[in-house]
Amino acid sequence: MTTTTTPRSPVGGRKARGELIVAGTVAVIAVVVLVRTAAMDVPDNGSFLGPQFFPYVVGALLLVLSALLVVQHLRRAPATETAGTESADDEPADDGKGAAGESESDTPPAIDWKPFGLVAATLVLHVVLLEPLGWLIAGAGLFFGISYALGGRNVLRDLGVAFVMSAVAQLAFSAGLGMALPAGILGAVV
Amino acid sequence: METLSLLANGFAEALTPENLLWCLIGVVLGTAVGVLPGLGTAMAVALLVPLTFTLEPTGAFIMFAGVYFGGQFGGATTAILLNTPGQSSSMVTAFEGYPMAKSGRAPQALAAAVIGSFIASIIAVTLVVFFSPVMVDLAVSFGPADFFALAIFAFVATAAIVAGNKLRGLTSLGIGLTIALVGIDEQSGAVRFTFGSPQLLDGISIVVVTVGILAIGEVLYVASTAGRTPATQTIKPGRPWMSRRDWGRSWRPWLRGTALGMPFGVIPAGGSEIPTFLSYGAERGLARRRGDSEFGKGAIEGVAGPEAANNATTATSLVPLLGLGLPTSATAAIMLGAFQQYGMQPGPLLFTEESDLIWALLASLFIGSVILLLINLPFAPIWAKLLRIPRNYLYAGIVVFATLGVYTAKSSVVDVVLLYAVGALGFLLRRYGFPIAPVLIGVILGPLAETELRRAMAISQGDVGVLFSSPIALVLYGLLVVALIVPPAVKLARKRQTVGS
Repeated sequence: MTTTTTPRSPVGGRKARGELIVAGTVAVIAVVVLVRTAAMDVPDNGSFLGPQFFPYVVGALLLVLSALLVVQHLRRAPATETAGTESADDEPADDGKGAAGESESDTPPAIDWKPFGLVAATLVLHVVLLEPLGWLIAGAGLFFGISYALGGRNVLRDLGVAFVMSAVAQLAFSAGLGMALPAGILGAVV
Repeated sequence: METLSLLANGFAEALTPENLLWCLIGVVLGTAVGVLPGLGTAMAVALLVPLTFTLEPTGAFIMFAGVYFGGQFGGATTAILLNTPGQSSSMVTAFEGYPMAKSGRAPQALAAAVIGSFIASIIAVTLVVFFSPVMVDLAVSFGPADFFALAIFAFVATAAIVAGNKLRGLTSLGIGLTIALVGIDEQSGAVRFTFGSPQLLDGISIVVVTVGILAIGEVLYVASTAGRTPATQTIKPGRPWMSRRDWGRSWRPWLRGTALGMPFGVIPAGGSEIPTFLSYGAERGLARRRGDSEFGKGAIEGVAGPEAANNATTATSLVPLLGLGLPTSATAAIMLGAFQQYGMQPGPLLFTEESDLIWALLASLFIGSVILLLINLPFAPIWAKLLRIPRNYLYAGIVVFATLGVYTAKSSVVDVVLLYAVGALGFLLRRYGFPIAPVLIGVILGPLAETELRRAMAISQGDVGVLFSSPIALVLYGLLVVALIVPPAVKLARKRQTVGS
C-alpha cells in the first residue's frame, strides 16, 4: 500500500502543498493564541511568571515553526531532485511512522471528496440534531451517514443495522451504566 | 521483601471474581478494537476509557490492563493476517508475519507473537514491580526544576529524536501544547482561551483529544481515500500448533527481544518502534550468520523477537508512568489521562496515597497476560473473522462508539463538537505526515511543564539559574544534547567515510 513508485515531482508537489496547508493552520492558531494572550484578564496576585508567559512562549514557538515549514517548502520545491541535507534528514521518517502517520516519501493521494464530504456533513448534522432529535434517531443517523459515505448501498439493511446499533448503545449506556442520553422528540413516547 | 507482600495484597485485591470479569471483558474488547484495521493499542485504550469511568477505580484499572494487553495483541494479529499493522510498533511484525500467513503458517506466526508477548510481559512486569519503588525513591527528591527538565526531555525526545523529521515533530508538539492551554489557569485563576464558553473552563479532556485524533481522524482519513482502498481479504488459518522446531527457533528471539525492549520503556523517548526494529535487525543478522535465513519468506524469528520487544517496552513504560507521572508512549499518555480523570496524579505520591490500587494494577498486569494467553492462543483465527465485518459498518460503529463515549462522560454537546474538530485536525496531521504521539505528549505534559516552571521561578524569585542548579536536571539536559548531537555527527562521519573511500 505504501510502496508506490511514483515519480518524484508530483510527490514533491502535493506533499509540499500539504506542508503549506499545515503551516497556514499553525500560523493562524499562533496568531489567535498571541492575540488572546495579550487580551487576557490577569488576576493580580503578584506571582513570578503569570498565566500569560507560557501561552506567549507556545504562540511564538508555533509562529516560528510555521515560518520554518514555509522555508522548508520553499527550499525543497525548486530542487526536489537534489538530495541535499534536507532529504538526509527525512530518512528516519520511514522508521518513525507515528501511530498512523505517513512516512515522508509517501504521496498523500488526492482527497476523494464525495465520501469525505459526506462523512463531514454527517458529523456536523449529528452535532446539530443530537439534542433536538435525541440519541436514538441522531445516533442511527450518524451510523447510517458514515456507512453510506463509505459505500454502503443496501439502504434498508443499513438503516436497520443503524437503528439496532443506536438502540443497543442507548440501552447499554442508560440502562446498563446509568448514564443519561438525550431522549429528544421520542422522550415523550418511550 | 516488602514488595512481595504488597504484591500479594495486590493479587488478593485483583483476584476477586468481579475484577477478573472486568479483566476478561477488557481483554476481549481490547483485542476486538486492536484487531480492527488501522486501530492499535492506543486507540483501543482511548476508545474504552470513557467506558471505564462508571466503574470504581480498581475495577477500571484492571479492565484497563486487560484492554492494554488485548489491544497489543490485536495489532499484531492484523499485521500478520492482513499486512496492516494497527500501530507503528507492530509494523515490523508484518515483515515476516505476513509472508508466514501467506504460506499457510498464520497460526504459528500468531502463536509466536502471543507467546512472545506473554513471556516479555511477565518478565518486564516483574521488573516494573521491583523497579517502580526504586524509581519512586529517586523521584521523591525531584524538585520543580527537575520535573521541568523531565518534561522538556520528553518533549524534545518524542518530537525531535523519535519522530524523524524534527520540524514536523515539533509542530505536532506545539499543537498539543496549545490544546493544553485551554481552560482556567490553576495557579492564578486566569481564564485562558475559552472564547466565552463555560464548558471550556475545565479545559479540553484528554479523552476528547485522543479519541478525536485517533478514531475520528482515522475515519476521515479512510473516507478521503475511500475510492482506492482495496477490500480486506482474510487468509485461511491452518493448524494452530507450533511444532517443536518452531519452539526451538522462537525461544531465543523471545528472550533477546525482551532484553532489547525493556530499557526503551524506561527512557522517555517515546514508542516501541526502535526496539522492534533493533530486534528484527538482530534476528535477521543472526539468521544470516547461521546460514539458514528464511527472512523475507516468513521467518518465525522475525515475528517472535519484535513482538517480545514491543511488549517488553510497553510494560516497562509503566515505570516512568507510575513513578514519575511521565508517559513515554501514546498509550501511556492516555493511561495518565485516565488517572487524572479519577483525580489521581501519577508520580511518587501515588505509591503512598493509592498503594492498594497500584499494587492491584500491577497484579492485574500479570493476570491480564495470562488471560490473554488463554483466550487468544486458541481463538486467534476467530478474531480474524472480525475483519469480515463490512468496512462501512466498522467505521460507522467506531464513530458512533467514540461519539457516545465522549458525550456520556459529561453529557455535553460541546465535547462532541470538540471531538469532531480535533478529529479534523488529526486528519490534517495524518494526511500530511505529521506524527501524532507528540501531540498527545504535549497535551498531557504541557500543564506539568508550565506548573513546574512557574513554581521553580517563584521559589527562586525569578532567577533563571535555578533551572540548571540541580544535578538531575543537568543530567537530563546533558542526555538531550548528546541525543541531539550524536546521530547527525555519526551520519556526517559516515558520509565522509563513503566519500573518502
